[in-house]
Amino acid sequence: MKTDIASTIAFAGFVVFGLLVIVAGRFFAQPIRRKFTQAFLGFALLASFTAGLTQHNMWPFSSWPVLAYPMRCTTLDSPSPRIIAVDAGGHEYDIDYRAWKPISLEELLSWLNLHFSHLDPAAQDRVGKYFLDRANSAREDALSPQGLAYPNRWLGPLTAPTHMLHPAIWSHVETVPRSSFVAIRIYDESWDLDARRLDPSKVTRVLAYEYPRK
Amino acid sequence: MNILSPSRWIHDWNRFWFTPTSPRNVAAARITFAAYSIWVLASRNLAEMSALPSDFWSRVGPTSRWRYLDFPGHSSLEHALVWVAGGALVCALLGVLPRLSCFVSGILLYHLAPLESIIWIPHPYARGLTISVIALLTLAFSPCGDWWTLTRREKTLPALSADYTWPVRLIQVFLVQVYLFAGYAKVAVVGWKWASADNVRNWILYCIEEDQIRVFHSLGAWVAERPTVCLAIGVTTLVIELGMFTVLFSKTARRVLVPLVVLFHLGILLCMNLTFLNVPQLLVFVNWDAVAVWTKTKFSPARHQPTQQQQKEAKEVGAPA
Repeated sequence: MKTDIASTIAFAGFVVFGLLVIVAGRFFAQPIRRKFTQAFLGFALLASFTAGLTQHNMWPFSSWPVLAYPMRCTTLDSPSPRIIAVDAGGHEYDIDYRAWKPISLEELLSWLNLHFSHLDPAAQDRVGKYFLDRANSAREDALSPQGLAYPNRWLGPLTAPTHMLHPAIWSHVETVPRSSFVAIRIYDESWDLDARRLDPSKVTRVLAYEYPRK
Repeated sequence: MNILSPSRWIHDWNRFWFTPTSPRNVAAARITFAAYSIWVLASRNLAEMSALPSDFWSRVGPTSRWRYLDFPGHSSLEHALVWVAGGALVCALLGVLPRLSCFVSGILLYHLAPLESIIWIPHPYARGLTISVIALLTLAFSPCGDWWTLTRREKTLPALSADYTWPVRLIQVFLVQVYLFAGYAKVAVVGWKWASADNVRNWILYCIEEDQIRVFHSLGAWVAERPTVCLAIGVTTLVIELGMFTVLFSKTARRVLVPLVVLFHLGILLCMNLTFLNVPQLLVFVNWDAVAVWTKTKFSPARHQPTQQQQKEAKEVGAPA
C-alpha cells in the first residue's frame, strides 16, 4: 500500500513538473524556462533512481528485477501450475495458451500460484467453470476454418509476444482434440533440472484442483 | 578544471542535457515510441481484462485499483479508451497535434497497461509499455513536433536548440536504467554468484524444460552442456547490464554496446524463450542527423558533390559528408 501511494505521488509529480515546463515555455524567458526544465529532469531522475536503487517497483518507474533470484537445480520449492482439459473418456490434453485470452498464460499461471488457493470453494468452482468454457470455446475455434485467433486477429503471428514465449500447440487442426472437454484439472508440477534434461517425462505432478469436484 | 569542483559538475550537467541539437532526434523518438506503442497496444486485449469474472479481481487491493483507476466491469469504457489511445498514438506518429497526442496517449497507457497484470501484480514492467508511458509524456513536455510531421509546412530545418536535446537524453537515461537496475537487482539479491556457471545453466535448463514456455530449445541445450559458455554468458550479462550507462557518455560505447545488446536479446530469446519487446526503442540511440546527412549524400542526384548546406550539416553532426 505504501509503495502504491509513493508510486502515485512519483507519477503525479512527474506529470506536474512536466506540465510546468510547458507553462514556463509559454510565459517565461529562457533562463527561467531552463530552471523549470532542470527541476523536471531532477525530479525524473530522483523518482527513477529511487525505484531502482531501493528495488521498490514504483511503476512506471520500475526497479527491473529481471531474473534477479537464484535458480536452484530443482523446482520443488516453486512448482509450476498447469491447466489440463479432460474429455469424457478421461483423456487429458494440454490447452493452447491463446485459449485464455484476454489473460496471457504467464499472468494466469502467476495468479493461480498466488491467489487461487485463497479463494473460497464456490469462487474456485466459478473460475473452474470459466476455464472449462474457455477451453471448449478455444477448441471449437481451433477446429474451425479460421483457426484459433491470436490476441490480435489482424496482426496474427506478428502480434507482439508476451515476455515469455508460449508454443501455439493448436495451430494445426490435427493437433486439436476432437471431443469436447468435460473437466478441468490444475496440477502443480515440479522437477529436477538434470533429471528432466535426460528424460523429459521426469516430472512430479500433484493434483491441486479439479472441476467439477469429485 | 578539478573533477570535484562544482562548476565542473554544472558544466558537465549542462553539456549533457542542453547541448543544442537539431529537432530530428526528438522527432525520431516520437515516431519510434508511437509506432512501437501502437504495435504493443494492438497486440493486447487490455479492455477485456475489465470484463473478467469478479473472482479474478477479488485479490486486487483498493490502492492498486485507485492508483490506475482500473476497475472491473467497465469493458465498454476501456474499449473506448483503447481506441482513443490508439488514435492519439497515430496522431503522435504522424505529427498531428504531436504534444497533445503524446500526452493523451502517455496518460491513457498509464491507465491501460497495468490491466495486463493487475489481477496478480500492480506493476506491469517487462510487458512492453513501461518506458512508453514515461517517454511519451517526456515528449509531450518538449517540442517534439518541429520536424518529420504531416502538418508542418516549412521545409527548412529549425535552428539547433537545447530543447531538442534534453527529452532525447532523458529517454536514453530511462532505457539505460532498464539494464542498470536489472544488473543491480541481480547483484543486490543474489550477489556476484548470479553470474556463476551453475546459476546460468539452471536458468537456461528451466526455460527450455518448462514446455509451457518452450518454443526454442536447441541453442539453450547446447549452451547448458558447456559450463565455460554459461560462465561467459553470466559474466557478459552483468558487464553489459552494469556497463550500459557508458552509452550515455561515449560515442564509441554507443556504437559497440547498442548493437551488442540487440544480439544479447536475440541470444536470450533463442536460449531462454524470453523476449524483451523494448528492443526497437534502442533506435533513440541512433544519431538521426548523421543518418539524414548520409541519406541525402547517398541518394541526392549530385551525390559526389555535396552541397554547401550538406557539408555544413555533416560538419555539425560529425558525419562523413
